[in-house]
This record gives sequence, structure tokens and C-alpha cells, in this order.
Amino acid sequence: MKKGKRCLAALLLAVVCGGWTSVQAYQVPQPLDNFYVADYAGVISDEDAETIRSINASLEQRNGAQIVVATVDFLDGEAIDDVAYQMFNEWEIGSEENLGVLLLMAIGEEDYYCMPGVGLESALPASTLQQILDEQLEPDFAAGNYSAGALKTVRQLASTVEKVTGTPVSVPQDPVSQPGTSPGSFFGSFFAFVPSLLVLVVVLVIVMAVVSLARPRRYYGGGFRPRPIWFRPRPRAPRPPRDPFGPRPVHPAPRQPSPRRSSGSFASRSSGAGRRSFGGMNRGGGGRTRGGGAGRRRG
Amino acid sequence: MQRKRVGILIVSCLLIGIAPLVKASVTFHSMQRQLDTLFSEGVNGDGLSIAAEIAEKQSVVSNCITVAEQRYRDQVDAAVLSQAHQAVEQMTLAQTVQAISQAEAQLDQAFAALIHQLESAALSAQDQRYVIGFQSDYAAAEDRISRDGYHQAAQKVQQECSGPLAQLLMRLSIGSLEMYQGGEE
Repeated sequence: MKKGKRCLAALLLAVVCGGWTSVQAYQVPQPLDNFYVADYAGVISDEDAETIRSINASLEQRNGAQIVVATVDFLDGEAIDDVAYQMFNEWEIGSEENLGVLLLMAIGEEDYYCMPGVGLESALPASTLQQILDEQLEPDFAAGNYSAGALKTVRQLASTVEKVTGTPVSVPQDPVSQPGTSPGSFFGSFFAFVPSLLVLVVVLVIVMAVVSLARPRRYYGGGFRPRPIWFRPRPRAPRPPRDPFGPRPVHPAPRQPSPRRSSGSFASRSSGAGRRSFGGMNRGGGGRTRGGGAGRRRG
Repeated sequence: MQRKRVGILIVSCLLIGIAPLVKASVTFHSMQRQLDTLFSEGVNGDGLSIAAEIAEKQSVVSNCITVAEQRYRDQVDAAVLSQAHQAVEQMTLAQTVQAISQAEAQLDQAFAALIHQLESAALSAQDQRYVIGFQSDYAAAEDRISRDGYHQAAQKVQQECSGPLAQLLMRLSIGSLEMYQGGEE
């Protein structure tokens, strides 16, 4: 009887302890329909969310990079960099080349954190991220304009990714900040063309020189330079006797009826299943992060 | 005939006694090699490793020293600068995992002291950005070290070698396994 009571007590204790430990870990929410703007705190306007989505569609089509903005109210006692790390790896932000960036904003905790994927660690080091956050996000975040701050940050991040990966990205600009056409733009483009022309001329000269060197030359004694030994002609097999009736036509083998295909296979061929698709995947591309981002500076 | 039997028995006992030691030695050496490879080459063998992040930290401290020496030598304590120099040199000379761990601890202290001095100095706008950048890069490297898969592998090895028999065999064969201790979450 005593033994039974002890076992029951131990079992109850185990259940309680197990239950206690299971509620402590932060539950990362699932991505939303718009993968690039997971606005759980409800602070990003529809217009800005659509702009962020279109920036990402363009970026992803060029090099598979993804810049995701996630907003939450609170972090349930977890550190923001831990949550960002967990979220990034669970959502698999970025392509298989790990070109992803996550901007996590915890509105209720007045904090934010930006984490790059493995493929952007050297291109977007923490110091660069910190500078972007300080200049683009912090002023608006402190004033409560979370949507504007997030959009500016994404634009700057997209622009930086463009520079370091070398792919042009059409970043929708603010109507106010449209640059005007400058009178010197024609001459600027002409002088930019000249160096390319020079390179082309140099390449042509080199090619002509190589071609002329490759031609066989005559020597003083007349005739041509003897062939090197490694061009010794290979012995040929004897030719078969000629058919007096000439070559005969070869009739193709009778065609076997092809097996009937269901409509599903044609659909799968054209759907691109298994093909790597960019241009607005609206989901994670398999990217991962090792951590090492930048966050809000206190004090 | 009896002597021959006794001799064979003694040799057999010796072989039975020595074989586990030899096997244990081979196993522990292999574990050490694997841990060292994880430390220097990373979990995926792609060079993204704790050793690379420590080198990054060393580079940040060197740059920080450059800024402090070139423009704020009169505002930064000479002892702090000297400590930073020594820490960087110590890290360059460290070859084993244990030496690297110790050198890293010195580097962390030296960097914290140097940054504290620089933050108190009258920095230009550009240098202020540099100092913020140094802190960010240093913290980022520490974050990546703390999340590296090496720690899980090392923990697994420690669990496997935690039994009394494993401990005894380890002491008799390799002595102890050298593991990186710093930066764990």
C-alpha cells in the first residue's frame, strides 16, 4: 500500500514537472499568407506590406534573397535574439544559398533585432546592420511609426543586398525622393562607354596575335616544320569490301504504342514541381542562420 | 609442458588486459580529432567555425586598437592599450584549444576595457560609428560561437565518457579530452 502511494506520488510529480517544462519554450508563430510581412502585432499598414512584398518578389527573382519583417507584441520572457534565431531557422528564410534577412520587432517590449542568413554574414556584418537600424529604423521606431521604419529598413537592406550580390533590384522609391534627370547624364554615359571599348580593342589584338602565332610557318630550308612526334598517325583498320549494290535503306523498327498517360503527369510536368522557383515563392527557401545579428542599442 | 601452458596463460592475460586500453586509446584519440575538426572547420566542414569567429574577434580588437592609438592615445589609458596588445599577441600564439580558450578570455577582458575607455573619449562622428560597429561585430561573433553545433557534439562526448569505467580508461590512455569551454549558452 505504502509502495503504491509512493509510486503514485512520483508519477504525479513527473507529470507536473513535465508539464511545467513544456510551457516554458517560446512558440514561434507560423508564417502568414504574406510570408514577407508577418504582422502579428498589427502595426504594418497594408500599403507598406504590399511594397515590402513587391521588393521581395523582385529580389527573390534575381538571386533568391528574402527580407522578412515579423512583428510580435511580446516575447514571453525570451531574449529577442533567441526568438529571431528560432524563427529564422524554422521559417527557413532565404534561398538554399542562405541569402535571407529577418527583421523582428517586439512592439510591446520596445525592441527589435535584425539577423542575417549564413550567406549574407560577410556581406551584411553586424556593424553594417547596426548602422542601417540606427539610421533607418530607430527614429521611426522611437516615434511609434513602426510601419514607416520597417519599410525604410527593408528598402535599405534590399539596396545593400543588391550592391553586394551585384544584381540590380528595382526598389520602389518614395514619390518625394525621386531623383531628377541631370544634364550631365548623357556625357556621363558616353565616358562610361569608352573604357569598355578600349578593353574590347585590347582583347581583339590579343586574339589576332594568338591566331597568327598558331599558323604553321615556313623555315629557311623550305617546307614546313616537321610534325612533333605526338602527332604520329594512328594505324587504320582495313576497309570492308564494297557492296556492289550500294548502300541499302535502313527501315526503322516498328513503333511500339506508347503507354497511356494520365492527365496528372502532364500537369506535373508543366507545373514545375521540383523546379527551383523564384519570383515570389511566398515561403521559406531553405535558408538558415548561425545568429550574430544586430539589435536596438540601449542607453 | 607446464611452463609452456603457464606462459601461454600469462601472455593471454596480458593481451586481454592491454587490448581494452589500446582500443580505448584509439577511440579517445579519434574523439579528440573529431572535436578539433569541429572546432576549426565547423559542423559542416565549411570553415564557419568557432575558430573562425575567434579570429574575427581578434581582428575587431586589432582594429579597435588602431582607432585608439591613432586618434585617442591621450584619452585612453596606456595600460589598457598594452593589455589589448598582449591579448591579441597571446591569441596569435595560442595553438591548442585550451590555450585558445584562455587567450579568448583575456581578449574579452581587454576589449571590454578598451571599448569602455573609447566610449568615454570625445569621439568624432565617424569614430563613434566605428566603435558601435566594433561592439556589434564582437557581440555577433560571440553569439555565433554560443550557437555553434560544436557545443552539442562536445556535450554528447562528455556524456559518453561520463561513466566510471570510461573515466578510468581515459585517464590511463589519453589523460583527458581537450574541449573548448567558452561561449556556451
